[in-house]
Amino acid sequence: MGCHGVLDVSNPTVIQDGDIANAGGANARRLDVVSDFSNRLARIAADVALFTDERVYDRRSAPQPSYGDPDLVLDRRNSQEYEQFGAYDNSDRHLGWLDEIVTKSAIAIPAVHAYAAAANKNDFLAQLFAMRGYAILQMAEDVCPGFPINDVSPNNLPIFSRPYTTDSALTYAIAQFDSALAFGHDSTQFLDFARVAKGRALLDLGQFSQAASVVGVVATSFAYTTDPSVRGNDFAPFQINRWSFNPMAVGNLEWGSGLPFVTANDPRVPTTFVQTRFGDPSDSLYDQLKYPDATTPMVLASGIEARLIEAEAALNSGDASWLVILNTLRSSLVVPSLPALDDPGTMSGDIDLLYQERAFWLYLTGHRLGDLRRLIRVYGRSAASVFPSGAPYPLGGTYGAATSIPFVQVVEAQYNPNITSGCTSR
Amino acid sequence: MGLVSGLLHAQVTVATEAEPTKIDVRRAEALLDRLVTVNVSKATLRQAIDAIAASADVHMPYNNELLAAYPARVTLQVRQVSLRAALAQVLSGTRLRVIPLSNGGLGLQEGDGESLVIRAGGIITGTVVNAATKQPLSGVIISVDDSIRSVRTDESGRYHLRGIKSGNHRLTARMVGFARRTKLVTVIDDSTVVVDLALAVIGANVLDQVVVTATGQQRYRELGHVVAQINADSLVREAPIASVSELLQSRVPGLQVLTSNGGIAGGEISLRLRGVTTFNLDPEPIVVVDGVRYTSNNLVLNGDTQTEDRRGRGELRSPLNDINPNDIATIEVVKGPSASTLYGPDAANGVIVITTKRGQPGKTQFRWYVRPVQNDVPKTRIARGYRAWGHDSSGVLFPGNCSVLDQYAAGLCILDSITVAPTVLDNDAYSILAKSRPAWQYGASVSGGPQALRYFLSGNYDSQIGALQVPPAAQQYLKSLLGVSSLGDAIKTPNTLRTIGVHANVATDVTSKGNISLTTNYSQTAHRSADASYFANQYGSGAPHPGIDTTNVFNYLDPTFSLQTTEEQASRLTGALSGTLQTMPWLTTNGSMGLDLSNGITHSLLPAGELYPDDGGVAEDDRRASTGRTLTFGATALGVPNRLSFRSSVGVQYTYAHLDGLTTTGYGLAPGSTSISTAQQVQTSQLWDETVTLGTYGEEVIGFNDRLFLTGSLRMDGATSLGDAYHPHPYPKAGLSWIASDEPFLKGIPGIDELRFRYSYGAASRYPTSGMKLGQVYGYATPVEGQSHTIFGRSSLANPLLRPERTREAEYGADLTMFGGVRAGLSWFTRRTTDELQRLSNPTGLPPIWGNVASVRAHGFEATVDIPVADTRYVRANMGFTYAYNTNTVLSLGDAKDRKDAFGSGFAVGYPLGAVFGQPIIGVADTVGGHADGIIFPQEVVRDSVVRFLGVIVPPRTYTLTPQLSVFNGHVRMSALFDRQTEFLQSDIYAQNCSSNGLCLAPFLTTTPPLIQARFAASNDADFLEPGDFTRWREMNVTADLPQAWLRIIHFPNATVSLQGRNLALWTKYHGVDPESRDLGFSSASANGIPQARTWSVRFDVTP
Repeated sequence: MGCHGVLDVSNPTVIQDGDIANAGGANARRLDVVSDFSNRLARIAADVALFTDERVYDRRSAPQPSYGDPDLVLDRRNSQEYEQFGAYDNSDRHLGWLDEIVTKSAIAIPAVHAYAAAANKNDFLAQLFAMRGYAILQMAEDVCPGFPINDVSPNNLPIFSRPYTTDSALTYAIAQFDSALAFGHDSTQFLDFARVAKGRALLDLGQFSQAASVVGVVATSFAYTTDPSVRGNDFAPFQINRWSFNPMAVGNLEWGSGLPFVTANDPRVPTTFVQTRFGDPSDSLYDQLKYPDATTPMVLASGIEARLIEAEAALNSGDASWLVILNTLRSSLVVPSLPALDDPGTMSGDIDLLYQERAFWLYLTGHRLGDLRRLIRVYGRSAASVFPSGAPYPLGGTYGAATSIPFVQVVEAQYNPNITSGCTSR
Repeated sequence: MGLVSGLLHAQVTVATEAEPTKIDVRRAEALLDRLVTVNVSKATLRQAIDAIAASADVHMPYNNELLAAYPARVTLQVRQVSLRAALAQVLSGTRLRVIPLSNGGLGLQEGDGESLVIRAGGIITGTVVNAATKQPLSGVIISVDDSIRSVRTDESGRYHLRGIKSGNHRLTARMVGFARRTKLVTVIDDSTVVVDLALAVIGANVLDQVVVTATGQQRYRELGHVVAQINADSLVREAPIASVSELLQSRVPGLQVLTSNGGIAGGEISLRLRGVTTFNLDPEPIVVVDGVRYTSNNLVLNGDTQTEDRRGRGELRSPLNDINPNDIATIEVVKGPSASTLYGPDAANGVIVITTKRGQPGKTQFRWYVRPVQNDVPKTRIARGYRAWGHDSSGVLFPGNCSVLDQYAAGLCILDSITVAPTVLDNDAYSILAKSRPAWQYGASVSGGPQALRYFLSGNYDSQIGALQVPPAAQQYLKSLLGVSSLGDAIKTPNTLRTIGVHANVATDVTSKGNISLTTNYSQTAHRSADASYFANQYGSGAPHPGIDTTNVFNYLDPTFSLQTTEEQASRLTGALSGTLQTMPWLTTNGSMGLDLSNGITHSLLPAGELYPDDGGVAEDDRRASTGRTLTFGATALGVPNRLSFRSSVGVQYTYAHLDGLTTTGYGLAPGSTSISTAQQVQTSQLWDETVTLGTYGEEVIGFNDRLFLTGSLRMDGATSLGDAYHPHPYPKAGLSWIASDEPFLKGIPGIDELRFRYSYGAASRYPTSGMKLGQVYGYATPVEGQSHTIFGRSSLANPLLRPERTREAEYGADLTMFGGVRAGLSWFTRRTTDELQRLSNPTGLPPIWGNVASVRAHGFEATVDIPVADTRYVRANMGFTYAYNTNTVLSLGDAKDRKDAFGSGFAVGYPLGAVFGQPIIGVADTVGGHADGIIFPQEVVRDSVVRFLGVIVPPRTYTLTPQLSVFNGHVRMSALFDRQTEFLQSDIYAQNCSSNGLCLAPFLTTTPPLIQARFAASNDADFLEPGDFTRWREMNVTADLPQAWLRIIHFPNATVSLQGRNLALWTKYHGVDPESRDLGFSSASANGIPQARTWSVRFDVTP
């Protein structure tokens, strides 16, 4: 129109991409991922705990509609109700929380790559790739096959994903960890984080020796945690509010076949009695003390996990050192030391013992569902032997048959033409 | 031309209005307005008359012998003059007169009787009065020969037109709200003609009125759409009106004034014209004052979905009410795109066109008024509050009110005792939340000056104390607790409003063909707004009371702890410089430039609780400044060749709007401190909004025989906002107006005086905000990696391809005048909005994105009927009735999804915007505990399994009834206004508050019907929705002109006194406080706290 100037407007309060195309802006975008990663992984771990035997749920009144409480639905492992809630709420919370980390890292990585100062650019890229890979790994472990991993393009437009299988997602995650390892040569912290996470992904793929190889250099004392300075209510799931209508408690032999996280009196899972279950005074509810307050960080990857990966690799290769590794951890990292474990003598018993140790070491860290699914996927155990199905659920109804957290197809497919069906398996 | 003039004698002829003209005369006069072109030289009188009649296409029977008696030759060379003027010239010096014939034609007769052609001479002067009341009308525009040169009548209705050239002239008197009158007047040098006129009040259906359009003044008969007019000057003098919003309320079918907390002095209002057809953009009509775009609402769509108040936060006075209604001459309401296309961007919701008072030439005229008012807020039905005390199973005292049934049912709280709080119904001293309070309004104006420099200057001062109060006993109680003898003003008078305003207009004729007018308005407001939520809580839960409110920090009822005060200081300066120039006889150009500057500072304080120091307090300082600039230029050419007429207009309009705000909030104030500097934590936020629009238009109106008009126009406009270059979009408009009653083949239908059919079509737009197009990057400081850092993230993705929402409207209707006075106007409209903006929730994990995806169809009907019931010398009575209905349907949501949620808000394809959905309670199953205990717990509530459409929250159907009576020859006038609104839902917020806060006794009373218990037990928003249908006695006034004998004593020529009442009675089955106090949005069903204020006032209006 040739009216340049007359029709110009400005808005200093609106942050435009061009305004933050600098080192400070790139770092602020990285920190957005760091903050979100810490918050979301705590939520993810809470979901995993409910879905598995780590946590049980209590509720003082029936939700309306019956699928209206996602925590209840997760605890009951009912795929159909989870999807009903997602459709009702137009949300896909578990997958969505993880995909947020993916999309945010997709925005932050190019910014850091372009603008971060040379002194810490590689560290930042390693950290971002590791967090992005970790989110994808968690998707692969938790979510049923067929899920999308949506992303964002450099010009801020959505990239709608094809469906991923568990294995293809794990491979995708490993690619992210490889990128982290390529950039992270300046930082042992991020390198080890990527190594342990990659080892975990390889374990999920059944590539035990490769997994052990990757984590071999990680010191047992290493730990990569959520950021303790990140505040928010997202750690709240780990607290029991005695006045709450829907408290969550430590699981104890949930389904009858779950692990005795309370009665084992294991110092790795400290608990305390709070109150009895609503409507069932005989059922005591215990709160966990592992996270006594919201500032207690959650360990996402550690040297202990590295040793557990090595133990599992050893067990699968017939190497008796697997039990030595477990007992070394029990004796050296817990005060007073835990008694040494005996070899059950059968492969099945050995696996049970290894996975019990993993469950107690990695309690409330989001690992448990991946472990249970690995028992099915890699070790060929039946779903019924890992998760119960049809048993009476304490708050009404029966347990569902889900062995993974579903994604909500109607939500994921509403703009994504690539998603034409739901879970390809449960 | 001047052949016959020498035969006349200089004389003075007094022409006065007779009784209402008969239909034949009206038609005959209409014929005399036809334009003729005649060129005869030295012709006989018969030849001249034949030539004139032929040119006018009028059959004029005459007696040949009669004309033969005047043998003098006649020369007449005129082009495009009225038939009246031509006849006046050729008949001058004869005793022949023009008379109406019974068939509606014209005839010639000899004699001394009255002729339709008035002869006079010299200066034109006279008085204009209201035909109904005989009261003088000020501000009537008097013009000669449709020239732009005009004068206005003074306060006494007088006017003078001097220096009029000798010859025949067409004198026109026009004023919004009255039928235009035109008289042909012959003027002779050094003589005076006195023409007194009586203008008849008209409804919106009379065709001769003049209205202000985007292209200038236009005759209503030419328009294809309805324009509602409000004669503000007359109304404000007599009706109970203290603000522009009250001036608009219940006055125009289709225009709704929504009030959030009517009982709060200076409470917010919001306007809706023909309902709402946008999901996410501003639903209010735009306002144009004296040609300048005027910020009228408090809503700023900032960025994404975030909305901000233009002036700050809290219950603030609406910017629309910065104008003093006493300074307004007229208001015209343009209802939709079919009419508003040429007003430019964002006119899709309609336009309110306000014209303020102008300078009037003549003797200096003073006028003043005083209006004492008494405000009150009616007591009403409320829920009874109580407190339940309890402990848990291990004996721990329950922290808070152990009354939520969930807690009770869950065994979390074992009930120990119940304390019942007194309520307003008990007339308890702690519960008296309203007190009758005074308000005063004063104003004065002066106008006058010569034609070359006429002026109008006015000032006003309003002072009001709102009727809400902290209960006196609670104040005493607080004093004793704090150990003070006096409490702050905020406790004693939590709601006050003071405004001062100045309005000035200076107008001058720069040449005989042009004028310039400068108008400016300044207002300053000091407003302390009551904390509506505080009072809502009191109504819903029982008032603060010893033993109820001092036990622990969970109780929010303590007056100092919960009473937040907001002090608003706002000033506003507007100015408009406009000019008109008739550059050619057929071409008029006009232009205007205007400014709208506003500053607002609000201080909000939630004091650090002296009772609970640990809770700290919150202080907020909010400063906002806005600037608006308007620049318009236009030209209109008129052409009247033969029976056709052409009106061609072009124009360009530039508007600029800018808002800049800064908010600083301090949390955790030191005890006793009100200063942000003592806060433990300070947060600052900035607000910025800037938009520029540029539009051009062209319009052509073609008339056929002054009874069929076709309009076609096109506007191109675009808006620049951040992230988008200027992309103009076309918006067409078309119209048809057919005055069927003027067609020869339809004349003579018994009882029908005027019948006009009209049709109009137009398109207009609403523009997306910057944030919608750019997507939004958020930034905030948060602890991460061990210290506070700023983080940037993206809350929505970009969509640079967003287009404006586009609304197209077709309106059709009819205007009918029959039986000499019954008037009716009927309008239907259909409106379709496409490219509606919706926030598209991407799959979880991806930020959302905005898209042009939805469409909405609306339709409605509006009717205005005005019936003269009695019309005698002593008594005149009139009954006015309006009706409006509008509804809409979401046709598609594109990629967006239905939101049929069960919480009382949502939208879905096939349902209207503003729909509420829910799962109604259909029964109870009193089974918890294994037996029926008569107490309904949440889990015993049985709901419909299907989420159902419950209704809408803004009334789709409204009715008004306006009886008017004048007696004693119009010196005593009475009128009333009844308002009925139906078919909408309103939430009973007090019951809802009471329920959600667990403060209702009902759930524990086994005598309460189970379904009522269920409502309180479930505590679901949708359960508290009720039909809000109501009828309100909105206005009443009795006005009397003081008798002349009294006036002589006090030496005032004119004085009136008016007794006025507002919101005098309410009839409704709704159980809440007031069905009209509602949330100003349309997707939420929440009601608001304070009922509409009832006022009584007396207004004295004096012209010294």
